[in-house]
Amino acid sequence: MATSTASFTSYLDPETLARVGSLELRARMIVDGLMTGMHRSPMQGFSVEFAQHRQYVPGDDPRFLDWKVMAKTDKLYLKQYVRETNLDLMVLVDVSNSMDYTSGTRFTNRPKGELMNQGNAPSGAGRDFKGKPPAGWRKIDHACALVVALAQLSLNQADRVGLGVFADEVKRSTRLSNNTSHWRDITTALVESQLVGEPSDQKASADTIQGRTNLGGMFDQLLAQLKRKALVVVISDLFDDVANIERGLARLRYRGHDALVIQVMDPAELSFPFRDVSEFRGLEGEGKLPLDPHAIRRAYLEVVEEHNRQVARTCQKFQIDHVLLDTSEHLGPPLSHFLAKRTAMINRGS
Amino acid sequence: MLDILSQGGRITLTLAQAAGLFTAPVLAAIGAAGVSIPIIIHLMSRFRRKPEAWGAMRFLIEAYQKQRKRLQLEKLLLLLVRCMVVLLAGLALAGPVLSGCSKDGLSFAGSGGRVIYLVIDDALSSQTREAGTTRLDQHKQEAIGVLDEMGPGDRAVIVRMARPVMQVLDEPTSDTAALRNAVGSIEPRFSRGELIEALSLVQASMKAESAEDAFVVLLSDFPATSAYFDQPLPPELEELGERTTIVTAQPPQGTDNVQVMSLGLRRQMVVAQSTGATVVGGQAVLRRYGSIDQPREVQLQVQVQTPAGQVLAETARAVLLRSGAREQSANFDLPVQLPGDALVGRGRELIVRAALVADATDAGLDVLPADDQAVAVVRLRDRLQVALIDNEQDINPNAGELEPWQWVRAALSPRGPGATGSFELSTMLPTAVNSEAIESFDAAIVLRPDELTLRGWETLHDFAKRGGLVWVFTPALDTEPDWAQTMQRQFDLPWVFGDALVRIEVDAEAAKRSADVDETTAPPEVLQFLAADWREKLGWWSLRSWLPLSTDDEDRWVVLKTDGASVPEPDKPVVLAQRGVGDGSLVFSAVPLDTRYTNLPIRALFVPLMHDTLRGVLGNTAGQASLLAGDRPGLNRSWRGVGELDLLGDEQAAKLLVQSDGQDVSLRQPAEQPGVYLGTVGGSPRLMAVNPDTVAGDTVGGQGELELLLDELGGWSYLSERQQAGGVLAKTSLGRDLTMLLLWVLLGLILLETFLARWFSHATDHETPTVIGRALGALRGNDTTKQVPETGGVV
Repeated sequence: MATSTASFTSYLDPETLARVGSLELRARMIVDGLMTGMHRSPMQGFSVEFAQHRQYVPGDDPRFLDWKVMAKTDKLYLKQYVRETNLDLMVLVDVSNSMDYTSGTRFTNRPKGELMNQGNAPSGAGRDFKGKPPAGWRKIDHACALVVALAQLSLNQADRVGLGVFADEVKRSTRLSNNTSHWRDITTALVESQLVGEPSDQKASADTIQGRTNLGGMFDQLLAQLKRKALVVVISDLFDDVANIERGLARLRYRGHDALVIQVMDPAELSFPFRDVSEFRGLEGEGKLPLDPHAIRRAYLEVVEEHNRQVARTCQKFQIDHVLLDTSEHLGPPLSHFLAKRTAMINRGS
Repeated sequence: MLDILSQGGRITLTLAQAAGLFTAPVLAAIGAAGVSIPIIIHLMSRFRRKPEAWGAMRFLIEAYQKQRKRLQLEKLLLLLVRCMVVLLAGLALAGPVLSGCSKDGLSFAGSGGRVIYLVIDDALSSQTREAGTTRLDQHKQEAIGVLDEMGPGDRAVIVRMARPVMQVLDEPTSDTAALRNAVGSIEPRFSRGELIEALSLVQASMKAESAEDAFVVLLSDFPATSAYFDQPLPPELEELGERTTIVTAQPPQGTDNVQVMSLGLRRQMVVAQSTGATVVGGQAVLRRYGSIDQPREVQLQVQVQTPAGQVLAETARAVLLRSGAREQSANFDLPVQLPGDALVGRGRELIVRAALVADATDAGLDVLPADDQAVAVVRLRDRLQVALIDNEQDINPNAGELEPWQWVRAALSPRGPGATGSFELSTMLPTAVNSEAIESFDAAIVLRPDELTLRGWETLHDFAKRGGLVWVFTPALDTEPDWAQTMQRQFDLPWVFGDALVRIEVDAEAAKRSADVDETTAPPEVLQFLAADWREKLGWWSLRSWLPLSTDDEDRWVVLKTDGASVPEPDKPVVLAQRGVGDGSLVFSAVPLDTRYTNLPIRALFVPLMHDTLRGVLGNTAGQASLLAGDRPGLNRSWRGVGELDLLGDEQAAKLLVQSDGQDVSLRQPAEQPGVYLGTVGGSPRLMAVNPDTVAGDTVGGQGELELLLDELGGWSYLSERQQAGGVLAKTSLGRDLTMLLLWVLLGLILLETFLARWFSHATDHETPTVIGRALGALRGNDTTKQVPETGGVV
């Protein structure tokens, strides 16, 4: 494919993804964009089955150049292989009410799928400033895009994939499977979690509390179905006590699983750019708080920074990778992180 | 009511007084009410908060709990500062005034407690009539206007500025009816204005009343030639303008006025001629104010009248005031045919009246008729009594030559005893001189001073002090003149006498046998009748011997010519000298009345010199008979015994009361009304002329001079400016104007608010919503509440 890298990476951009209504299509875009744009082929290793040739792009490992083709055609092609693995991937996604937040609009109880519809979202209408997510692009949208992409990536490589949806408790889960039709199960589970669905569905209003994030209690339930060591990807805003998070990650680590924590936050939660005196209403039932945002901004940012620092420190403590992702960023970094993590696990022979 | 704590304790301030603290109390009230604006905005903001669904509420709550006390404190502090900004803006615009502090506490320049001094100029020029009204009427009208502005607690004092300066009511009063009556009762006077004295009176009153908050209104036309412009400012008046508020009327530009500035008689006492007409001569000086570019001719009429009003002589003449000339004098000599009874007795007096004749064509060229007339009194004497103090012994060894007393008799009474003449001579022995004997004489000619006793000298000194003329001749004796030292001590003369008669050595080459007097010497004023041929007659007078004498310049009448004569000292040897002694005079001749010493007795000068010296000196020491309105000088002793004087032609006018205190005689009150006053002394009528103080007749205002004077006093302003600014008693300048101070504080508060707003919002990269920022944003049409793009990212 002669498509430029820039055009493929735009598939990972939330702006683009927000215009795509179908989860399946969204997942394909992400995977294609990711795979095409990666400089280093993920298909490498000793146990290989030839799959296809691919045009060399700078950065690829020259070891995988097909010298014969080069000698005949004077063009650089890589030989790509399909590797058989038995990696188990458990994706845990947080669907607590705080994940329903977006600074792209000032309300969250929009008709479900409305902002997913390309026709209803005028070009650039949702991005009135840099670093702001697309209109209606919630944290949970970002998380779901990640989930489906991860599932697609893994199923393409015959990894077994499972999904756990949680808030204060486990809301829904799927079994581990490497069947390609399992991807449909995963998307269905997400839709049925009343978070993402068809355009005709109505999202629950903000006061239908899904519950608060509770990582500690959730891990016991979900990790019980993992019979062998797996890669657990936690996608959450981690709005929980650091002690709870630490307790959950500790259990996960004690069971010998490897983990990747992707912390999803809205840019507004990271910069608190409000100016007018407002009445802040907690999405998870914390109540109302009238405030002059100017006056509290510095203290708020200090608290958030401290929380995130502690989360990062906790992850580091258990040698768990931690990625902080805001919803205005494209999905490349976490997915790259995931692929690197997967490769590292395979190389370790797990 | 407000309670204010001061050093002096608690002060209760009523709402009215509080309102009086400001020039525009309404603005102050608006400012006070404006304090509620930030509070209302603060309260309304509770309802205008827009809801914001927020995911990371746990962090927000945690941050809020950490900062809650600080936030509340900051909010209250900012609210307080913003309230103060609004309040101070209102107060500053309202023109707050604080007059200062006293031991009794704060004194406010409010609607009460002020003392208003109305200094009204009722001097001569206030009678100037312009546009159908006098300047005094204008001053009174302006004074009424000021009184109308008085507040309930204000008190006022009315000061009349014309000499003598006086306070109309005894003490400051808030009784506006009484004040109005007092203003209305002020009648114009004929004296000069005394601004400095009036201000000193105001200063003294302020001190007595402890008036911290005083208001001085000067209502005058401030004549440009007023003497007070040249007076040094008394120390107590320095910075008066800083301690009080001085408001002044604006001096008028100028109006034409012609006046009889002065009327002077050549002799106040005239010896009536027994036959023919008696001449009354004098000089009237006319002066004009205003424009002098054009020549102007006025008609001057001079009359000589009896006290009963009978005109004995009169003349009228045109006097031309040339272009560029302010003054012009007009001399007159009126031959008066005296009625027979006018010569009876010693106290007959006539009135000389000089007046400008009003001309219909002069309309507008003489706006002050009050100074168009002057009067003078001339005393008539049928004969002067002269005592010849001499022993009538022959001292001239040359046979056939006259003795001094014979020369005197020949000159003054040539017809011999029993004949009628101007002088009646009586011989008195030097040893017989006493006060009783000499009391009836007008003059004493002392030919033998060497024989006078000490008591005799004392008697003569006392005689001179009471108005008599003492004429001392050096005796033709070669003895040492001890009498000269006695006379010097007795009369307290600053003269230097020689030790003996000195023969004057004459230059041989000059081939003269005697020394001449200096004919270039001007005649003294009393001998002005001799001025026409004074030099010619004086040139024939020569001396051979002389008692060396040196006197002050003003005492010299005749001096010796030093060229060609060996006169060692002094530089100007005096031959004839005169000095005033009390009400009288001393004349001294340094050369004996003897042909061996001088040729004077045989020269044409001798007789007129004797006559005019006696008439002139006595005519000028005839007793003070002329005063200026407003003056209260000491009077001549001849007025002792005059109880009261009535103004001729006006029985309703105030009498002049004469009081005697020991040797001093004076008027009890200054004369105010000009004219001729009549009294009696020992059954004889006595006249006194009172004239307007024409110095005060300048109808041109001295604006430049006034401003210089007021600048020395400190702060002041013109009445018209204050009237245009909202009232003469407008409160802004009554005390210390706090507007600028409050504006500076306001600026400081705005800066503080800006700083606090930025500091409290912890602004770093945000536009801060300060008062200024919001105002500028509103002007620019910017919505400062709009969110600014933020750079998101990973923390």
